Amino acid sequence: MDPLLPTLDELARRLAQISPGDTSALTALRNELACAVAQPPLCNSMAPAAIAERVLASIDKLVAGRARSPAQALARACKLLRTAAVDARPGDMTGPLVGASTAAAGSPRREIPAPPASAPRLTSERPTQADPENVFSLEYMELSPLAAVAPETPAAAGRDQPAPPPAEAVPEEEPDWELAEQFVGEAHQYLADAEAALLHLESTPGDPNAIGTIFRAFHTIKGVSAFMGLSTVTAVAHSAETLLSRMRDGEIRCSGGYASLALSSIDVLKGLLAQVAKRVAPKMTPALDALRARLTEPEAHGIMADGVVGLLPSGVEEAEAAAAPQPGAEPVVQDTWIRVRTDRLDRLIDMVGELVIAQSIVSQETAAMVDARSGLHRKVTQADKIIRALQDLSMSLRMVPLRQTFQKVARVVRDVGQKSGRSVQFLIEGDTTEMDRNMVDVIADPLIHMARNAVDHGLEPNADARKLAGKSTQGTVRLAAIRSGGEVVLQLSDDGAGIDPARIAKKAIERGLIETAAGMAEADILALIFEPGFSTRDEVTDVSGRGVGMDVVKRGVEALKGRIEISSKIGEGTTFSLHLPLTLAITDGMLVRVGSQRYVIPSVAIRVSLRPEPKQLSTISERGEFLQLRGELVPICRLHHLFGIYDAQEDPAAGLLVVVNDGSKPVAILVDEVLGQQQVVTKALGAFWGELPGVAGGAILGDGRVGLILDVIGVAGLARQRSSHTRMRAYPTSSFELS
Amino acid sequence: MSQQSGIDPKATWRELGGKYLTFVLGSEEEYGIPIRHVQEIIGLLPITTVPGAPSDVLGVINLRGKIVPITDLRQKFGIAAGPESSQACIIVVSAHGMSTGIIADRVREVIEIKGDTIEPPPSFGADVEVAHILGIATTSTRARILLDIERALPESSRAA
Repeated sequence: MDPLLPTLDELARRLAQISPGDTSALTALRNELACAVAQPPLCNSMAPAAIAERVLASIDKLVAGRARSPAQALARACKLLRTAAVDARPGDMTGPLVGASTAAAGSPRREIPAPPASAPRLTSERPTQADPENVFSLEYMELSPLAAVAPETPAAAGRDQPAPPPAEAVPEEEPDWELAEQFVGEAHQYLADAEAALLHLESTPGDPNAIGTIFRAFHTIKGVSAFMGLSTVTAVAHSAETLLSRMRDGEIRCSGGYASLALSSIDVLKGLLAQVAKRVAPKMTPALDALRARLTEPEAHGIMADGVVGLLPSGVEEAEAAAAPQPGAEPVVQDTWIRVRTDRLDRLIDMVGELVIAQSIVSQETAAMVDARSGLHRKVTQADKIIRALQDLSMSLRMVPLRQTFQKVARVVRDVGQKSGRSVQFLIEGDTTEMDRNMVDVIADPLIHMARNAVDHGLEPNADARKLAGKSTQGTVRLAAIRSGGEVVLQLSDDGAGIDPARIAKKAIERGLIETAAGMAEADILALIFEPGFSTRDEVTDVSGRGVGMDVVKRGVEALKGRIEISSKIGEGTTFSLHLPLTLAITDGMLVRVGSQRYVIPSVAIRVSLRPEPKQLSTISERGEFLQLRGELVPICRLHHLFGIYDAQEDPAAGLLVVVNDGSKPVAILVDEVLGQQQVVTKALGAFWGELPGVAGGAILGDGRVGLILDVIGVAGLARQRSSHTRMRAYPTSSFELS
Repeated sequence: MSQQSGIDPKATWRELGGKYLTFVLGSEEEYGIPIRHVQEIIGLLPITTVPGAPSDVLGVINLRGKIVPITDLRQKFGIAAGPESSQACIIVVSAHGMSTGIIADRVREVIEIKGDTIEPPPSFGADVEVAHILGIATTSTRARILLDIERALPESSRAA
């Protein structure tokens, strides 16, 4: 493990010392935890990472002020983080067992005095506080050390005197059902693994990996259920863990009565989880108590490795029956999460898209019907609403939160800060914002590149420079995601020195990018950093500034049909805003007609569309036709020539010119008419012919026919090629025209 | 192209026996493709021309939300299109793991062709490409050309 990183133990200890109201301290710790989770060894171990994620979620809730009782939520988060810390210790489950157990038991003990630190103060300051929630949480805080220690001490407390079950120590409370539902799905997975491992152990006794798996399953379920406030689940898992720790320590073999006992505890837990799935907090019953007694002291109940093989001890069946859902209840919810193959998902989305088109054809035809027989219109409208809702739902299936991407960025910021000797605070906002899965994967690289730049170029080189500028010595980099309309805006800002337009202009002149900066707006000057080969850093550093710069980022963002903006104030910092569509699957476009063909031009590329006055048009010999647009000469691209369409409008003054931006330079595309705005689902044309210049993909239009989506940059490229040849061959097209 | 070399030709053609979908290109010629390649037969749908596509590819259609390219084998084989009729249709085949449509002037039937009625494709000399022909099935009344549909489809699809 990276020695510079705080361990989970350390974080748990620090978390315990933060008072619930101190949001800035909580945020700082949250970010550190997020960093820790995002990298090895934590990111490689499922269970601790899953628990830590949950801690993150609950800290978020605290910071946002959404926690019902902050003190209690914080105490729970502490406890949970400790569980994760225990789980995360390398070799814990399979290594030398006694050592691991004592470590598990020891560390929380040391921490005990810390968590309630804020609670007594609260009591002495406001002894007459009558707020019931506060009183309740104080009680909890006083009890929580016990509750926190008990689950960790099975081994240390001695096998013959099992630790007092933690369940009784925790006051009854309403669990967080939203979290509990997620937990049930995961817990079922753990139990299934444990069950398989138990069966494997019967044939291969003493396999340390299998024992580790089982132990981890119960341990995780115990920890998380305690956090959820599911005390009965915690108690049963704890008792089972006691039995398993004896197997793990080699004291007893996993066979015969012991194995049966462990298996039946799995069955009982499954039954309890089924109750949780229905939002019922399981209650402790005498039968469950009996099972726990057997789990902690099987020998006292006549259970041992051989002898009563396969025979369930009396009482266990009862417990299973008690834990099972009530007869007549609805079927057990096994999982609240399912993994689905993406191709099936895509197919589903396709089919729903087809359904929408079929429906719109039906509703158009019924609308045209004169006699509204038997309320057909109303029924069609009803179906229409359902299908629209279905479409929205199907599009949301591919959405995933940005959290993981943000965590990658957090890691980069930390590393670059370390390497360049800067102290950097990284703030994250809106990491629960959702985007299309495909986009989330692609956006990571540009974001990481920008984050590097923000630390290495944006922030002042060292603490002294910051002091001189009258700022705190620690620099701040902030990454935020904001959903606005059909867009997600990712903002990456630093509170560094800002970008000096004069320096940019000087550099751009040196590089020959511009001739003079006179008359250029500040925003235009700043935008020069997106030009290829531009880097403002004087020396090349290890971290960034190798000549590949913001132009790569800009191209990446444009490939995602997004745009990038920059704003900067000298001395205050720089902010980059990436405006991205929510999904690549849907393109907002303008449907145009060229002869008998229709094409979709992505709206993001369109600057303006106009019917030109004849005096705006000019032909320059050897260079082609141009449109004069506000003093700018825009080359005209005749799409019908490029695509070999013979029945199109030839006269620009009689058609329409759609001015699009090809990266930086505008091009005016000649079309016959604009048919309207349309949102279309982008589909690949297939690998049949590889890349087609000028065509970005296909889309099913409102009438069910296929329309092609233009790749504006490709079209402009074709147009340039064409004008550079004196005579260019048009695309061969088929003379065979159907319908 | 060289896949068939090294195998006893006669044996290979015998093994070609099985179920074929037969269809007519132009006004006369009857062709057959192995039934396992056939996904479905649909009526003609509006075809969107794709600029830059190979010349024997007519364009693309919307097959229940999936975009499927349509090839005109008549262009490839140099056959004049038959008289316009309501019998023309699209045979959707799976080739190279993708769905592709081919235009047929008329679909005839699904028949069992016995291996011993299949003859190797005649050699017309080096100029005539016959790689896309599996063999020729002859009966007393007619001869049917059996197509290797994957080879009959455009060059670029084979490169993929």
